Amino acid sequence: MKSNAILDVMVKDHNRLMKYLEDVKKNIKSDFDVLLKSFNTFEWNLDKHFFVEERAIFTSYNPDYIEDGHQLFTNLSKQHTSILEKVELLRKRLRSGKSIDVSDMEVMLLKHKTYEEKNVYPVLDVEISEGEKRFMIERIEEIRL
Amino acid sequence: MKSTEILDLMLKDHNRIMKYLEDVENNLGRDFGFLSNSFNTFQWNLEKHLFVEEKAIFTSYNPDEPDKKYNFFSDLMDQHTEILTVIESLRKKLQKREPFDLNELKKLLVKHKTFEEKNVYPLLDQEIDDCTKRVIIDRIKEIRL
Repeated sequence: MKSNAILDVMVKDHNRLMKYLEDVKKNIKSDFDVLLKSFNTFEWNLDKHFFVEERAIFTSYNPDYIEDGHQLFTNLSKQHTSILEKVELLRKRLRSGKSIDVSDMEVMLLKHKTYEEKNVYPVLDVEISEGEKRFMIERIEEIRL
Repeated sequence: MKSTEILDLMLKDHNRIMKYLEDVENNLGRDFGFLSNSFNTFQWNLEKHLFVEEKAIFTSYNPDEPDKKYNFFSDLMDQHTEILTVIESLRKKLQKREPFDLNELKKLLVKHKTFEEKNVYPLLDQEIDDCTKRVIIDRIKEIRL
C-alpha cells in the first residue's frame, strides 16, 4: 500500500481554502476594508493552490505520455480557469463597491475539491512511484500553502 | 528615499534564474538525464518567479487603477507569455531528444530582466506605500525562490 502523501497535503489545503472563503462570506456585511482584506487572502491562497496543482503536480506527472492523464489534467485546468474567471468577476464588483454573493463560487469550489479528492489525488498517489511522489512533495513544499 | 526591498529580492532571483539557464547551457551535448534535470530545475524556478511577479506583485499594486505609469504591467505579462511559449517549444524538442539552442530564450530573459530592474522595481519601491510593500514582501517570501 502506497502513501497518501499528495492527497493528504492537498486535502489540507482545500480545507484551508474553504475556510478563507468562509471568512469572505462572514465579512460580506462588514466594513469594506475588512471584506477586501479577506477576499485578497482567499484569492492569493487560491492562486498559490492552483499554481501548485498546475505547475508542481500536473506537469511533473508527464501527462504527454498518458492520454487519459492528459485529458484529466486538461479538464482540471479548465475548471481552474472557470473558477478564476468567477473570482475576477467578484473582484470587479468589489472594486466598484457593489455587493457580492459567493454562493456560486462555493458550489464550484466544492465540486472541484470533491472531484480531485475522489478521482485525482488518490489515483496519483497509487500510480506514481515513491521517487516521483517525493519530487512533487518537495516542489509543493516550496510554496507556503 | 524609501527602501529597495522589492528590487533587491527580485534582482537576486533574476540572477539565480540566469544561473539555472547557464546550467542548462553547460549541459547541452551532455547526458540526456543531466540536461533534462537542469532544464526542469530552470523551468520550475522561472515559473515560480513569474508567478510571484504576476500574483504577488502586479496584482497587489492594483494595476486596474487608471494610472498610466503602470500600464507596463500588461506589457510584462505579454513578455511572460512569450518567454513561456519559447520554453514550451524547447521542452518539446527536449522530449523528442532534438538539439536546441538557448540564444532566443537568453535574449528574451536578459531584455525582460533589464527592463524590470531599471524601469519597474525601482519605481515600485519608491511609489508604493510601506503597507502595500509589506504585503508584497510577505507574499514573495511565501514562495521559496
